[in-house]
Amino acid sequence: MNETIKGHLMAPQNSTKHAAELTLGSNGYLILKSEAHQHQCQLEEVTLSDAIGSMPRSITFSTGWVFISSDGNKLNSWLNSHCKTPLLVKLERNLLLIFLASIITLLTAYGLYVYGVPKAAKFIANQLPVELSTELGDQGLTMLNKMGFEESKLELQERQKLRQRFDLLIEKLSNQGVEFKHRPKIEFRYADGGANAFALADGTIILTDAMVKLANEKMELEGVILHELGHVHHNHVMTNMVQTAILSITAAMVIGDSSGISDTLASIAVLGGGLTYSRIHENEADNFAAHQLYSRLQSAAPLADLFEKLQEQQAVDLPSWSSTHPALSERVDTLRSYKPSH
Amino acid sequence: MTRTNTDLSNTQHSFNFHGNATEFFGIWIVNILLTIVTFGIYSAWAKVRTNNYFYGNTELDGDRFEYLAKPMQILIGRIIAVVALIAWTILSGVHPVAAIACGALLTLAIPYLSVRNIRFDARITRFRNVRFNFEGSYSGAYLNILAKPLAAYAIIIGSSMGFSALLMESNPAIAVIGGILLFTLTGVFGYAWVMTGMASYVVNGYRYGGKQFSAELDMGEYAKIAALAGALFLGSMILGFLIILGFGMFDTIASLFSGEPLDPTNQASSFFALFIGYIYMFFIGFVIAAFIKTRIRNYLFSKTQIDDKLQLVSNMTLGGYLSLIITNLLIVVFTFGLGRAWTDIRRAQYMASITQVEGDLALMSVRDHNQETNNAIADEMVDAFDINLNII
Repeated sequence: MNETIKGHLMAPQNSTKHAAELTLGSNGYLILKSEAHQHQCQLEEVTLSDAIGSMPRSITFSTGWVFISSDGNKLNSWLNSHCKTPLLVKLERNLLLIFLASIITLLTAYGLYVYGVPKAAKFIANQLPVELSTELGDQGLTMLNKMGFEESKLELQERQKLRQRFDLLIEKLSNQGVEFKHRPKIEFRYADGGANAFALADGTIILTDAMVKLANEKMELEGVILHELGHVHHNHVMTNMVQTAILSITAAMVIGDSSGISDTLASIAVLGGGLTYSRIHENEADNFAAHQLYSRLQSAAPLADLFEKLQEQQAVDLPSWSSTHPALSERVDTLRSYKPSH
Repeated sequence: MTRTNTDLSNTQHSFNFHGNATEFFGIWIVNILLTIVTFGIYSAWAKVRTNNYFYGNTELDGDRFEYLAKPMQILIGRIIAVVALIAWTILSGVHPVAAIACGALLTLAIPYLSVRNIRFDARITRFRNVRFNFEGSYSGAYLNILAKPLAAYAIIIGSSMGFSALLMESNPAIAVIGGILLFTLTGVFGYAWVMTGMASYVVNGYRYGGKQFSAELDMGEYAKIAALAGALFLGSMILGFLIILGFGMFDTIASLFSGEPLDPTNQASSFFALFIGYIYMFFIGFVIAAFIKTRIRNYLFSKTQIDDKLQLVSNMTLGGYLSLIITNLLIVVFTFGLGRAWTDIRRAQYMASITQVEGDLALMSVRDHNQETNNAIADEMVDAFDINLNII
């Protein structure tokens, strides 16, 4: 049974079209007829364009002439019955494989998000030069002034006493072999808002006057400082920066169209992802503080007490998924039931 | 010249895209799976297969486009790009001076890499047995891609800042208002000047076989588009401000800027206001970017001819394009990225549907040029550093 397909023919490296007819023999013999060029050969002697999806395939003869069918489906089904379907094409049509591949892709993405990105970010953050974090820390301090943080209104004497306690704490920690990438420093600031404490990129810890007053029990203050030292110990500020960069690039790659217009949306995805990482960091810092408190007092209660006081001050408790910090009640429960893991 | 113009409208050929999402999803997900399994090495093969699919399903006047790049070219290019990127990161980390040197070096290399990238992209594209080509000179690239933008920045910043600084002492009000006006004016014309230069450099360097692409671009048209986009931005900012005032949220915004702490009872509503504001800004950015892209593409195509015989036509509409990118975005977000295959197809379908060629394609006999095309390195360097001229 011979089949004939109409189409056109193009000379090597030339765009002119010539009407042509290709006869497909049942034994795989091809007869090409056209005013411009004639050719007869076996199917094995021609070059076929790759089989991808249901794209019509073209036939390049050994003479360099190319035949393009005007009925792509007819040519494709004849070729399919005479050539083996490539493995790749079989895979691409296999529903079970497509389903499995989707699951594997989603799981890999999730795994990278949960384990890969944090690990990579921490690794990269630790490789970054110290000059960079020093610079960022300086910038952080300058920004605080602009955000309405003023000189501390605590008595000079009290501040000196606090600094001594801080130095003592650092000394104890370094005797225990706790390492810090940046030498921790402490600074006091006054701000209108509630009690607050945070760590900067260069290991500077800022306590607001309100926080110092709130943590009036001795070990409570130790607790909040230890929490911030936990951030410094784990190099969280720099890690966070790298994480955001990785997430931004990935999100832009997944969402972005080639015009780059959707890239801005990527920032929302990054914001959501960044919050998750931020809560993980808070838990790590809590854990660091709890571990240190426990080794001294056999309990992490002081930090839990402080969090409860903070909770009373807070008017609205944002749900934890929308916040940089885990819900305070959860953190209190974790601290109350804290037992060292080893 | 008038005769050729009337001849041009004889026939109009539409681009047709024949790919379909179900079929492409299989190809796409298998590509990803194999890329994961081979730790990224397969990505070069995946790129070639994907491009084969998209080029091969794009039809013009009964013939399909072809993508000719070989996976090994792309893989070697990618390896070099990754090594360069790592070396750059390490060098920048070692010393700040090295970082600056690397940055300067990259800036100097951008025009060169761009030329290589455009040429590679052109030469691996074939239609009717004839490849495209790019013959723009390196000197033209340095002039249009590096010198003009730098000069434009210098003029924009220098004139507005200089004006403000001069009058700040004697007359601060005039200094500020004049500075802003000068900034806007030089910004609009600077943008138009740079974009006209870049687009006309790229288009006039393009070839189909031996046939030249040509476009005579008018800077005024680009300036008009930039000015309209600016007005659109200003208008939506004013509208947004009025909305804020209308909802009595002004205090919230003011306290955000002044850094004063918020009244705790207002915290939830201000969180909400912030969220809405973010979405609004985001949407405005979207609309303006789409507006610019639509107008520039339509204009650029309307000016582009091939060998004075064929005329390109683009009928992009702001509404059509905007609804495409927004629905695509929603698809990607709600399918956790798996819908990407579908959105790629939708995009290709849309782009084909708004693009035509006028003139008799069959009458144009073109011979291919005979240069070799086996250098993917620059192309992939460009991929890694994401240098995109974005002329349309």
